[in-house]
Order: sequence, then C-alpha cells, then structure tokens
Amino acid sequence: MNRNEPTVTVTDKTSPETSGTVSRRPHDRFGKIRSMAPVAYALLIEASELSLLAFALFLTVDAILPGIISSRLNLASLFAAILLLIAVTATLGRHLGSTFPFTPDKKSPFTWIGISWLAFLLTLSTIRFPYWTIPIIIGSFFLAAHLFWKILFRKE
Amino acid sequence: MILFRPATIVPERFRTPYRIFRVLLFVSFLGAGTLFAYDTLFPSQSFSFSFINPDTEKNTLTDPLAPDGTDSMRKGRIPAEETLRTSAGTVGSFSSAHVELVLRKDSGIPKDGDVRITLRKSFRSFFLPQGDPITVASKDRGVTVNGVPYLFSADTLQPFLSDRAALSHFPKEKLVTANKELLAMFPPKDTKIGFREGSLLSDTQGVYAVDGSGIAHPIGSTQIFESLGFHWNDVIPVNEEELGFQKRGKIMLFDAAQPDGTVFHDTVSGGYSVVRNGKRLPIENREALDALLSVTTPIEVSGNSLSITTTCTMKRDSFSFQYPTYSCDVPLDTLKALPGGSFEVALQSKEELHAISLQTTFQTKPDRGNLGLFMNQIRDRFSTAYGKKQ
Repeated sequence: MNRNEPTVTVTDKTSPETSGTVSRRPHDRFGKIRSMAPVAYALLIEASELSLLAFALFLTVDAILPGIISSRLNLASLFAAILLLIAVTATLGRHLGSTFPFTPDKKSPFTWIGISWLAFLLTLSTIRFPYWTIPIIIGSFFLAAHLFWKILFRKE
Repeated sequence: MILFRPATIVPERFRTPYRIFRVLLFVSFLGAGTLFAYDTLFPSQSFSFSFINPDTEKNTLTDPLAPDGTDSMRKGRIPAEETLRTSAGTVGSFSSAHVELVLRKDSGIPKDGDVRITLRKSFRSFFLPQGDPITVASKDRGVTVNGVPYLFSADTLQPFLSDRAALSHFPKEKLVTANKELLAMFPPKDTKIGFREGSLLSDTQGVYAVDGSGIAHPIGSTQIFESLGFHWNDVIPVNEEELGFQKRGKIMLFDAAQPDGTVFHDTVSGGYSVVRNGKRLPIENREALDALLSVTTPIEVSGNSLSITTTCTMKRDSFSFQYPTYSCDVPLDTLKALPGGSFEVALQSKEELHAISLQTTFQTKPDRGNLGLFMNQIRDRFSTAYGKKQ
C-alpha cells in the first residue's frame, strides 16, 4: 500500500472479521475527464495527420509556384505548430502507454507515395541549377537527412 | 495512419462522442481550407490608421498628410473642406475598396454624403507635388586621376568612395582622365562621396535603396522590390566597406516611397520626372535627362494616374452605437489598368471631424473575371519559374 494513499479505519462491532484499516480513493473528480483521454489522443492523432497532409499540400503548391502560399502564410510557423501538436500527442500517448512506431513499412503504399513526393520535390528544386551542382545538392540533402535520422532515433 | 480506419484505442462507451468530435474536426479542417483557398483566389488586403496611436507600428496606412504637406492631421483633427491624404501599398489586383471612418464622440457629425473619399493609383512618389522643372544640366564632372575617381564640382575636387560609387553618378565614358596637376591645382577634399541618391545596392543579405541623405534602406523582399517598380539591372553589387559607408535606414515595405533620385517615365505624355527633396521635378533639359538615364532605368508610370480618380461618399452605419462610424465602397475598375500598387486615399468633409481611425479594405469580387485574372497570374508565375531563360 502506498504510504501517501488516504486510509480509513473501519470498525465493525458486529463482525470483527471486517474490521480494520482499508485504503479508499477519494472521490475522483477528474475521473471522467481522464477516461476521455483515449478520445483526445485519437483526435489529436487525426488532427496531426490532417495537419501534416495540409502542410505537404501547401509545400508542394509553393514548390511548384513559389510564393503563392508563402506570401500569405508563414510555412515555418505552421510547421512549428504541427511539431508542437505532434509533441503534445506523443506525450499523451506515452501517458496512455501507447507509442508511435516509426519504422517505415516497405509494403505500405504510404511509404512509396512519400518517396515519390520527396523525389518530385527534389527534382523540382534542382531545376535551373548548373548540372554539376545537382549531384552535390541531392547528396548533401541525403547526408543531412541520414544524420537527422540518426540523431532523432539514436540508431547506431 | 488512423484517418482511414476507426480508432481502436477509443473505448466502446466513448465511440459516439468520438464520432461527433471527429466530424467536427474534419469540418473545421475543411472550413479552414476553403477559407484559405477563397482568400488565395479572391484576396483582400486591409490597411488602417489609428489617430489615437499615430506612432504605433500597427498603422498600415501611411502617415496622413494635410494639404500643406505637414502631419497636422495625424491626431485625427480634420478641418472642414480640407483634404487628408494617406496611402496604402498593395499587391495584386482589386475590384473595390471598403473605406471605414470611426469618429470620436466630440466630433462633428456629418450628414450622409458630406464625407467624400477619393482614390488614385500609381507609385507613391509619383503623387508627390510637382516642383520647378529642371531646365539646366548639372555642371558637375567626373574625372579620374591616377586611377582614382573624383567629382569636380564648383572648382573643388572630391574623391569618390570607389569606382562603383563613381559609376552610380556618371557612366564610364563620362569619367574623363586627367593628369596629376589637377590635384595640385585643386587639392581634393578629405571626405568621400558615396553612391548616387536612388542607387540600388546589393550584398549577400539583400538589396538596399539609397535615399537623398545617403541612407541605405533594406528592401523587404523581392516582391516588394518589384512592386516598388525597381529594375534588377540597376542593382549594383557592393562590398562590405562600400555598404558600410552608407548609414543603414528603415526597411522598405510595400507602402514605401521611391527615394530621391528615382526617375519616372510617363508613358502617356512621354515626359520624364525625378524625385528630389519631397517633390517630383519634370526634366526639361535633354542633357540632364541623358545624364540620369545613363545611370538609372526609369519607372514607367501613366500620367493619367494623377487625373483618373474614383470616389464614394460616406454614409453612417446603422449599427454604430458606441462611436459614429461611416463607410462607403469605391469601385476600382477604372484604376485597374494603371501601373503601380500604391493607392492614395483622400478624405474630405464638409464638417470638421475628430477621427479615431480610418480603415481601407481592398477586395476582390468572387466573379469569373477575377478567377480568370488569378489563373493568368498563375500562368505568368509558372512561365517565370519554368519557362525559357531570358
């Protein structure tokens, strides 16, 4: 029994067997709210996914037509807000004992859609650069991505 | 992704509220997306000036000017029959402007139609009052002694900061080579001359416009640079020392005025004018014009911008209970084709006013014409980004 847990002494004169000290939780005022946590978690995950999809859409449109989105909306601030939303979701998930598995599944169509999107953005961003710089730009991008991956997921 | 399958982590008893919240989430995302798309297709831009806080950075309309060019009206006291002028630097093409004026309780209460709003469109400095025309060419000359460029003016020699600074004043062919004796005859001054007023300088950080006091103002973005009418081929790449010589000024945004030294070319009359000391001086001397055109590219304007106006008269809003509020809508169709993105807003009242704020919102009507205009802009932007190199 936890020492800090409130205790109540019950004395039952009619039945000495039931007398003794028992632990009783105080009335849990936030119990209902706490039990709604999985709902909040599920909604936060969906909000994160919708935000990421919207961000990907904005990024693609702005990459195709530079300035069309970024002149109206600060994409860096939006990305920061999405990261914050993901952090809140992950914290709540950890509290609920749920985890974000971050291992790309080669068989999933989403992985291949993501890779194609990345290739498209890379191709688009290298247009009008001198030919000899393109391998350097792409190589630097993958090197930076590899380092980030290692730092973020602490993989050897 | 759980978007495409029901969340299994939600306990059975909370599935119904979860579904309701889920629908609300999707609707709010869809609503926000639709609003953003609408704002992109049919944009609006709002500008305001608070006469209570005339110094706040939040004011997006420029400082209101009285007819004598002073800022005597910036506290909101607008005498009867006098015109208050302010301006807004816009980007894009708008169909109408909604102008709203909020008055103090101690203000005169004008009748409907007593307050008139007039709008003109061009580049901000083109609206400056016209000064005396330039009829005589400058007698200043550029000379080079031992490879060092000097300005020879009124029998004095003054060295230029650098070759590039000299070339912002004179084209290469006008820099005359002189022998050393000139230095003995006219001992040069110690102070150096920087870049010509109106010069556009660039370093690795950005582009700067030099004003009449030699202050270099950073230009906020490439979009601002282009909307102010500047030309990329006029930009002079400079080094740290050259830029450091010019004092650093306030950032130039869409509402910025073109600095002294800026040349305008009126495509209607064919005339040229130059901005100098808060006035626009017509250039009537060929030599003076050629000297300016050899170092800068003029900004093309339409002389009609000064005469074509669009007006509306204000009416009191029915629901303005706390403070008397007047508003009206001005159609902008007649101004659409005029070059420049700066709107001059002029307010005149038959009654003496004491104003709290003035707000102007430029709007784009959601019609087929404006949708077509947006599609044309997309096409132009696409060809700029992916078309053949110029």
